[in-house]
Amino acid sequence: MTKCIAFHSYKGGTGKSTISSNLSATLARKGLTAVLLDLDVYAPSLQDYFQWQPQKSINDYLFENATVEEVIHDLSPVLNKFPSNNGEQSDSKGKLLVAFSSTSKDEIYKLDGAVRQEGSKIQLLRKFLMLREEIVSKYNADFIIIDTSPGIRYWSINSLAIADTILLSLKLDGIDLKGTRLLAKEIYDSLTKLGTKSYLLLNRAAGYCLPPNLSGENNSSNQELYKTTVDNQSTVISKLSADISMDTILSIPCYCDIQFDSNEFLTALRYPDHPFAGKIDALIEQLKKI
Amino acid sequence: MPKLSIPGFSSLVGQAATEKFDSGIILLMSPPGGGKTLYCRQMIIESLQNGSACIYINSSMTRKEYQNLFDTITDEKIDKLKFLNPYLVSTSNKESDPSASINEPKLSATLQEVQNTIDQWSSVTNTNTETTQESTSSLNDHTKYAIVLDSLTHMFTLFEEDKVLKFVNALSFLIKELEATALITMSGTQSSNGAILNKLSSIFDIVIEIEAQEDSDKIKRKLKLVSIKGGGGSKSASAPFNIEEDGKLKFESEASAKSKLSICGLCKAPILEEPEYYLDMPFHHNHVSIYMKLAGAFGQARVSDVGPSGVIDAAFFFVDVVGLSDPALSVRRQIEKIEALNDMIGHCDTFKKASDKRVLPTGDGMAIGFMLSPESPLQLGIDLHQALKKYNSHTNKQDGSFLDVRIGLASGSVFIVNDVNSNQNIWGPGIIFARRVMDVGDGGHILLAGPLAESLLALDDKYRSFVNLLGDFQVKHGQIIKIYSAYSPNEFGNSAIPGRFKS
Repeated sequence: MTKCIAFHSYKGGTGKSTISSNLSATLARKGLTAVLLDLDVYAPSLQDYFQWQPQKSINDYLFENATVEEVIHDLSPVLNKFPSNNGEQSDSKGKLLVAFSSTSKDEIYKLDGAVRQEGSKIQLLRKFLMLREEIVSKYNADFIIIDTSPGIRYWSINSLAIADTILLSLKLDGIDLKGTRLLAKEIYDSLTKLGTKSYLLLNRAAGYCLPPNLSGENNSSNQELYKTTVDNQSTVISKLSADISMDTILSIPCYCDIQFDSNEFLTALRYPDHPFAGKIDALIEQLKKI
Repeated sequence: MPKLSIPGFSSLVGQAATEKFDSGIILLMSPPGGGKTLYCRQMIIESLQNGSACIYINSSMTRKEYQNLFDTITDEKIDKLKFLNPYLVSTSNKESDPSASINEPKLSATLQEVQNTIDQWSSVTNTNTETTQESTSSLNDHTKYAIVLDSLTHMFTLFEEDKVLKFVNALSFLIKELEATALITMSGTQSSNGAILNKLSSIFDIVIEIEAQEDSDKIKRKLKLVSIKGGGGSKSASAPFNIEEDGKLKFESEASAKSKLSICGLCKAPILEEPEYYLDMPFHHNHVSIYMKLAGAFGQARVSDVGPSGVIDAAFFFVDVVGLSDPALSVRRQIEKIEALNDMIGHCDTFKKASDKRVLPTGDGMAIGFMLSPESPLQLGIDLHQALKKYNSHTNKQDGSFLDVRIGLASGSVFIVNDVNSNQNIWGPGIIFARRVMDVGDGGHILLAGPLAESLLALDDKYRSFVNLLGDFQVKHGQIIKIYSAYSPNEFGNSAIPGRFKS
């Protein structure tokens, strides 16, 4: 049975695309079929991430200018670029399939304009529902991973409505925390009442590295300050989690090497020994249990 | 295999759930005049016809009334129907009553009669199986039993409440033991029967009710699902029905719901399987929860934008072959042209890719309704003209082989209807409009009705280069419509003003 996981957030830049891409690729590496949908229709990024220029996009599918087969791209060969941590190639049964949103300004306007007209809005929604149904029936996918638009927007809410599980990624700044509370109250509540599972996914959490200037033995007060920051973060998360009744599925520390790598690409496969790869594995284990 | 019938039940919970349900106790509530007794009659008659055996318990009915109620049942079937009136039942055998705890001789005797009847039928079953091969008309090991108690409300007027409740309780054990199905009726509604329902709630597997509303000179009835143990179905599911002159219940959902196609409340596409209901709206099975989620997220008012509708909006492509009825054209040539047109349209990419479309052959052409994209009809017109260019490069006008068509495009509402072959088709103002627009044109024209053209122009700038306003035109019945013409010289369409337009 296909599991449909949507990555969502209140703000942009919380790592949805990076984590969803790494997750999808790792699932495929493990021999599963993962279909990654770029439904961040207003600011699509996966074309750039995978360096792939599709002939047909999800926009074409929604407007009936393409079939599902034309918009789902088999990117499984990408997996072979990266040896696994035991030096083996990926499980040949695994598939990484990706459908991209159009990056064309006109296409984005067109989609945005069409949802403002009731006639075309319902037609697009119908096609959107069909997209998931066709992926399930034609590709026998183990996972559909949706990279949604942040915030409360038409296509992100539609994406959440078709998902079985929502991973709400957040950084731990004040705006994101407030926004997350808003999402939980305004949107997630009604979804979870109807069976959708939702979890917090903390990204760029403190606690991975001790800044070099604090690592010296003589800086015990600074180290204490750092420890306090990490502890405070833990308290904030516990409170948030309790307030909005959402468990934390994973906490990914702020890995500077990923954060500031302008060419970050499937780190979980590229550096299988990196703790980030371990986090993605842990996420997969959690998702399998849901 | 004998089967029980529960009229209208499949419309409430779906065919699969109906087939799974083969024993249990159903409570039917109905206002006076709702048709409880006739519902019981229908269940009994259909169950007998399916080879089951039935016991009908009615405390307000005389034997004569019972006979009149079931006078259509054949002698052979009536042997498998036992009538009991607890008020009139003989109490002589009460000593052997295993349910003396009821402490009401007539009710105990009734229960005993039920047991005796079943025993008697079982012994017939055994005799039958010992002496003869299995006969479809005889009771056999697989016989299903239906016990109908009509009505509990009347029993309360004759007997003390706690004794009736004990009787029902004892009866329920018997039913479970027999793996039978029981239908128990009550007058009133869920709220008016609240106290009794609470006392008996653990007994009932399914609670249904008849809703009756007076509408001008007739009563509109529908069967509704109130609750079902273990879930399943939708609490908003309902099955409208009529009571015909001969007392038969005719369920719309069973008799005609399949022919009266439902439109999904979320995606507005036709529902080809058994619909699921939520807030009395039909949905595709997997769209109910998505609708509910969207309603929760967007708010009911906004999600109602995509809510139910008796009609669907579509965009239409209407085409016919110009001059097909010319007497100078042989029938063979006419057929060739129609076949060529059908073949060309069938090979157009737009036609192949459109996943939700309806095609109506019209004799000298066809109408195609596109449910999803308003762009599809014009794109199909362009595709077809390009295919025609290739086709006509091998034809000539002198021998009549040249294929010329005119095309009309419009958008609007249509109903989904079933044709005589039970195929789902569309009909309504949208499609008629496209025909009217097409009729304005001459060969080579791709004409668009104003609303469709204007929505395309608003949708994408590319249309501005080839969708041109012709002006207002008066069509049939004095209706004035704005007409646009799509053309691009040497590629598609006809830049000339249509003859009818000039005149």
